[in-house]
Amino acid sequence: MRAVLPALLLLSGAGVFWTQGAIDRRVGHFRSTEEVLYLPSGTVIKALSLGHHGLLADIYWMRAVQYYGGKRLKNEKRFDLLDPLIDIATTLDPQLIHAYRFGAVFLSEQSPVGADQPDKALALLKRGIARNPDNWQLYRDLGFVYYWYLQDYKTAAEAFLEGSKHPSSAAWMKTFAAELLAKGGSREAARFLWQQFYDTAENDQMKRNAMENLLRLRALDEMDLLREFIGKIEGRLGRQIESISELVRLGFLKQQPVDPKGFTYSYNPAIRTVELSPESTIRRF
Amino acid sequence: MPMSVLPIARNTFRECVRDKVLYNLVIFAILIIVSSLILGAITIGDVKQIILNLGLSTISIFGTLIAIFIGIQLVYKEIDKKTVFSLLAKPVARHEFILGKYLGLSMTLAVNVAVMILGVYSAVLYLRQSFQSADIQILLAGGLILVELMLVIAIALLFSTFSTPALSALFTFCLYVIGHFNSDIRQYGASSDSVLTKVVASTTYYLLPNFGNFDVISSTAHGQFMTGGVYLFSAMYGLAYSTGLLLVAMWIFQKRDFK
Repeated sequence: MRAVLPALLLLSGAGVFWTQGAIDRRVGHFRSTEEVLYLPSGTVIKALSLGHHGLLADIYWMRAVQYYGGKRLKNEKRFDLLDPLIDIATTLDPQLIHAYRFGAVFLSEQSPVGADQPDKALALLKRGIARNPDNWQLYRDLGFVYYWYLQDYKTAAEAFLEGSKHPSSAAWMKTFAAELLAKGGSREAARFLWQQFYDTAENDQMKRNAMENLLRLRALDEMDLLREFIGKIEGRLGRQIESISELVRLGFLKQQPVDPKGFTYSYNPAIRTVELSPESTIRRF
Repeated sequence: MPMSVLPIARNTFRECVRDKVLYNLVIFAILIIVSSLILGAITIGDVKQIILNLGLSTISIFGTLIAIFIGIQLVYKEIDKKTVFSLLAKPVARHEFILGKYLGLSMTLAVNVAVMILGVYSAVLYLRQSFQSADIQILLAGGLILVELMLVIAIALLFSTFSTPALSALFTFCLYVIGHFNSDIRQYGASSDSVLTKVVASTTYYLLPNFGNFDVISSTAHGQFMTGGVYLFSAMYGLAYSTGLLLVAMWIFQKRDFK
């Protein structure tokens, strides 16, 4: 009996493992995260939570993060449940600041990185500001969505200016608002803003996102520089350059220039532009 | 306090320990340890806040379940096994029996809550490597949760003096749920034009236990200290309400005929 029991236990464990695998293979691995909101209203869930709305808000926020991450992994373009999930999480806990902040980024980013719904991001941030009027960072994020995703520089400047009125806000907000009104969507302004996000990032994901955008801006600068250089060489040679490797061959460049992630740039002579290599992992939008 | 209350309380505590009530601490420990290790990987945001929400809610939920399911058995089991006769044959007053039972289960839950709060502090220390002055709120929240649980015990004990365990559990649970909607009842009365509705709603509001008073988990997780003596008054409210319920329970038990 002493030997039979562990053997039977092992056998039943293996049975469970095998049958579960068989079910998963037939109905899909992630059916538990199927696109269903069992309770669509945060207000109803809050009433039913019996005082544990904070925990439920965390669970819904985790579900939103997992939903977003799962979609990204599968490279899917539709994020239908993202906004409702974030809305429920923030209704359950109106002070869940990171849900407003990250939720706005998830919603604003262009497809397939995000839901491509900056209007919903704006609504989310405005709800966050109404519920947490003392949080200046939400104004910064609101201004950022207007600036970066909607290119509405005037409204962005207004949001930055409004946020700068808070005593604890970052000193650059006011000057940046003025600069934005004067220069609009210049690359310097974008670089400055992303650098601020990078410097003040509260976690790795936020820092990584800011770094990706800073690298992209650097690549854009380098491509402009390279195109200008090619223009000058073409002027000197009196003919068109076919590729960047030709510049290396002719001795104008010591080596093939690479983007911030180490992939070589390419030159398209038909439209006379320097482009990222198709293999490059630099963000393209 | 009468001398016979403490032995009954001690005995009830021992009985709970013998019934493996404190085993829930193992589940709690596993939950907190696993959460501390994996939450950072599966979510974005302040992990400490989630640990506090999870830890304090678990303390409250586990405690409520223990308070209801042990509380309803406290008196009924003694009557069912007829041990109450040998006990009351001794120089023990009936009200002392009720008080002893109540204090015994309260002691069990106090130990339970204290160990769990220690677990939450350990998780916070693991995550942050240090404590902040605001972390004292965790202790205050734990104290208020204990008062809330003592109120649940008093409700369960009251029902167990005259009803069966199944019905007592049902009544206690219903009162617990209604107690969380107490503010809505008051709001309903305030928004009504009828004077009668206003009076009924207001009376109901003060008559039913207001469990919303002990809702400090979310504010603790956000590090928001409630000022104006809210902790103190909430604790006093819970103790006053529990005392009232215990008095009614004692009165019913006093009148009860065991023949």
